[in-house]
Amino acid sequence: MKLALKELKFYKFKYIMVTAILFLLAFLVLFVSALAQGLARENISGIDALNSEYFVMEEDVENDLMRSGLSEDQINGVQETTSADPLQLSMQKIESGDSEISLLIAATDESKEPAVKEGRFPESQSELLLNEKLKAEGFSVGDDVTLTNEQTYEVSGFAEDIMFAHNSMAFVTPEAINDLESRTAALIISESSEAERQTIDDAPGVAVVSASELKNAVPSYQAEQQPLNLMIVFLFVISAIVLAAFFYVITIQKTSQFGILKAIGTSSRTLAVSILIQVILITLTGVVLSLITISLIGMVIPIDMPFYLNTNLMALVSVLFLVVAFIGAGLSLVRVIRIDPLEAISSE
Amino acid sequence: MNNMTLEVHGLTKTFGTGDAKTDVLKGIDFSASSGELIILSGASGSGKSTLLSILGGLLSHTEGEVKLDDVDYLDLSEKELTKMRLTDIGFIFQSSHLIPYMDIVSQLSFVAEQAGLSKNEARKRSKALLEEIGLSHRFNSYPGMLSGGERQRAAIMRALMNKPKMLLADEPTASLDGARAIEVVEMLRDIVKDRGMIGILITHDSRIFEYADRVLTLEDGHLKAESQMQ
Repeated sequence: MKLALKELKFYKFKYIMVTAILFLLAFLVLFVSALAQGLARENISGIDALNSEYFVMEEDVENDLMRSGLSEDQINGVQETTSADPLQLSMQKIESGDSEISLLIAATDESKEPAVKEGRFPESQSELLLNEKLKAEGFSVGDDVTLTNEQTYEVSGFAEDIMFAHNSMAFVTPEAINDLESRTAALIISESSEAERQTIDDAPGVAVVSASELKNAVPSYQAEQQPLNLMIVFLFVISAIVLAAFFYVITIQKTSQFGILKAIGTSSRTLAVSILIQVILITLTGVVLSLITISLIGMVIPIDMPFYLNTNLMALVSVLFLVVAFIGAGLSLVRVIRIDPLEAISSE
Repeated sequence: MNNMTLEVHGLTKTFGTGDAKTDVLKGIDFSASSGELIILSGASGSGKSTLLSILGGLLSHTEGEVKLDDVDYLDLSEKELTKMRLTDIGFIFQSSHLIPYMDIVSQLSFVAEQAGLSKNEARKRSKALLEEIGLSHRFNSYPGMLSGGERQRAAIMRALMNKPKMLLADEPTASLDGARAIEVVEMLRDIVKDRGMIGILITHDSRIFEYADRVLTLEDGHLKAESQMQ
């Protein structure tokens, strides 16, 4: 401990530089991951907001929610087997300044409504709940919104994350959506057994689709996530190589010094602990700084930017960086344990 | 420590095998007792550094035995040898080899703390030793701020921190000018006498032979001559 801290203190500049590089790498990984997650949220957060594992959709539409439409008979058939709530959709446009914004209007049972972040859920046929990102377009609670059918709705509130295939969603009451050109795109299954799902799946014209199958069928989701995830994996690999190389080179530079210490009776264990303490301190400092920075950026980044941070992502990146740093340090430790004090003294 | 002895019997060291086989030490026998300072001398390649390294447990031997205070330590495990180097053998190198990022007091106390002394005790002992050699004004100085002589004296005190039984020095005056070299050897002699240690020192410098009790001259792996100096 003493050895590790004294060295860090004495060679401040060198170790600040190493910490800074680690901080930048962790920050870059976090930033790209947050962007990837942000883009993912723009594609599938509307599905997540429905809080269901399984959906019933029209067969032969390749799980594409925008092409699915269930008939009354199909809906009744499913509802005879299990409890299922219709998800009605209608693609509309609203005006925002000089441009038009596509808006996917949805209505479902009260139990499946998304969490409201500001305001309240629509209570009358003339109200709607908007995606929070539309605040960036200047919408606020109490504003009037005119849809394609010339009907005007009052914004009753905002939900944090309700988007589908890069379109903002809006929720209205089931009665309100009947005034629009809508269709029942899916049935949301609350609780069901494997056997019930099999029975529904065997019925003609309908298919049981899991939430992840439904998300993967969003064309833009797969197309965006694959290259971004590949980029993140490569960033990690590069970070791992850079960190391992850094810690290895730093240890190699100290070979003769460690040799002298061994010659005067310092155990390999003491030297190994010293290296590990340095690696832990440098990595934790770099990662914690990157977490603070990314959190601050998350607070000020414009709401319409595809940027999504959550504790799982931050914890994952932190743990991965620590693991990578330990692997780098592990390579150095092997070297330290093998240092021949005599060789080290002779090389001085 | 008064009756402590070092006994070296039939010590050999061979490097390589077959055609590349080189016998560096070819049966060394000598003994030393407490308070005795022995100088190992000889031409380059005579085997003196190899002998010192084996005595210090840094290099394995081929045959023979070395007993310090009746303990044959050459066959101990690496871990036990490291511990022995910490507590029973003090090392002084050609250059001071002080740790660049530790002030002089920490430099010494680190070694004592490794041996199990408390932080306060270790610092107390460090300061006492440094005061002994007139470095009390340098307590908080780093090695880079000291002169060559000061660094070497601090390194000698580091070697004494755990009150070793034997002090091994490999050309400790090589990097010092004449006056400083004499000063350091006088200091080593006094330490060995006053603390009842066994001191073994390698040097080429014949001017400092007179400060030793005996000079052992090695030639081609053999102990060629032994001169009584005092």
